[in-house]
Amino acid sequence: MTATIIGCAEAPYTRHPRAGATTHTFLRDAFARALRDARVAPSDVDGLAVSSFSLAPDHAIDLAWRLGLSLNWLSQDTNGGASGVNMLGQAVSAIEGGDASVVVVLAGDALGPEGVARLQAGYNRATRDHLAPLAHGGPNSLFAMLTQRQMHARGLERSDYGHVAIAQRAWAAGNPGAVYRAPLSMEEYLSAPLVADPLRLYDCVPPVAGADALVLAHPDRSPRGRAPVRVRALRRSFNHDNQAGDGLETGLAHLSADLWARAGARPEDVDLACIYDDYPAMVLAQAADLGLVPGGDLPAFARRELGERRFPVNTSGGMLSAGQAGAAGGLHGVVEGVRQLQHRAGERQVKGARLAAVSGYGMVLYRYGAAAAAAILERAE
Amino acid sequence: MNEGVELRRCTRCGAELFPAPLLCPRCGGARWRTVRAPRGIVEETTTVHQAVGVGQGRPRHLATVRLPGGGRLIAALDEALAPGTRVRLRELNGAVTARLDGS
Repeated sequence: MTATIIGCAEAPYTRHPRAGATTHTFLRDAFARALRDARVAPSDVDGLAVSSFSLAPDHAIDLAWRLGLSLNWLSQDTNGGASGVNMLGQAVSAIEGGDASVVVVLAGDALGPEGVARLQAGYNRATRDHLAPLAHGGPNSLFAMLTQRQMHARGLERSDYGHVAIAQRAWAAGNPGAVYRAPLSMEEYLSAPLVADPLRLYDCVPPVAGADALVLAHPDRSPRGRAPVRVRALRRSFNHDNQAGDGLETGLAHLSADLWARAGARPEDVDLACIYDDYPAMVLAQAADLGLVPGGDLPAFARRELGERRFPVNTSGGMLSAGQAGAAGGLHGVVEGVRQLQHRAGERQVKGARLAAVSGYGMVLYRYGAAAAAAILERAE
Repeated sequence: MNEGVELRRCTRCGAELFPAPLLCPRCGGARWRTVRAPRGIVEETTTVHQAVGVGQGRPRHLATVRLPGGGRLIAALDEALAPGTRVRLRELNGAVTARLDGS
């Protein structure tokens, strides 16, 4: 049976959750909103995939129980920034393989500053044993050094990364759900407080509480008058280089050719891209790996395509402006891609959008991310 | 505090690995000899000025250090050092620190 995305929602991102709000209540709110959006009843849902860093001691089945769901298919994903695209692929396979007919894909976290620090210090064994004892302060320091390598290898300047952050902030002005919407100037970007040189404040995602959700089902279930969204192709990569490289090439470089061939499309065919933006350097790295950078010239891409907003990337403002709600960050770009393709993106709508590339990236094992996934999404008329 | 960093050297193919793997990523081997890498070269450094949820501690200097066997690790520095600097490595319970070689 054909699987399509028929609805999506966010539990609004916030820096300051109200008293009593938890990861579980954000996940519930995103779930309920997505069902309303797709005009699906809870009793119709027979499949659930969830990703969260703060579900413990609960598991996916506890969440199913507490949401009152009886299911035929259940999956819990632990791939962080790549979990959203990964779960999307699993949900399509589940429906097309006959395991389920209506699947909700859910991700979210309400970690708070202490929770973020705890997560960053105990991210995995390598981090706990070899990085946290150095008081490394989380991934910022690792991506600070990666950004230096990228600047050196690709001829990038600080202002090139500024174009990424500033353009996304300009897109965020059209997204009522973004936590930062005021315009950002290059001067403000360049003179912001240092976090870990060369990274400054606007290079680092603001942690928020929030959740995202998708509803997948046969296109016949799509609400009247709304185009469902089809996954034309989806590919993943896990631990592409055993952390033995420089991190400038993500796993996307290894799946890109196959992804485009499977989609029957070329990079120049897409109307927009939602690229996992934990740091501006990684937006550029993934765009290059996906073949979205003309001639592979990253400085020109940053200045022209992004800086002059000739090519729409992260039109929600991305995590850099909308906020990073833990594992929801991996689903954030998929939700934005769906909204754009369904022509429901309001002021920031990319006119006539029909094809979008979305990517996820994450799971820093020791020095850089090791999980990556990308999909080509299409408006199905 | 031990001089040098403890690495796993695969007895089959000689790959030197840090952190310790379960199987050799190069040849699949599962037998190791423990070797110590006393020195390395700084590739990049950064100074961490602030971190989420841990307040404003004193700035921390970190480096990516290349080992003679080609591997790279993350080490804490006492002072900011320039890329290309030779450093002496020490390890305490997995935490690697690097100091200017000869200091």
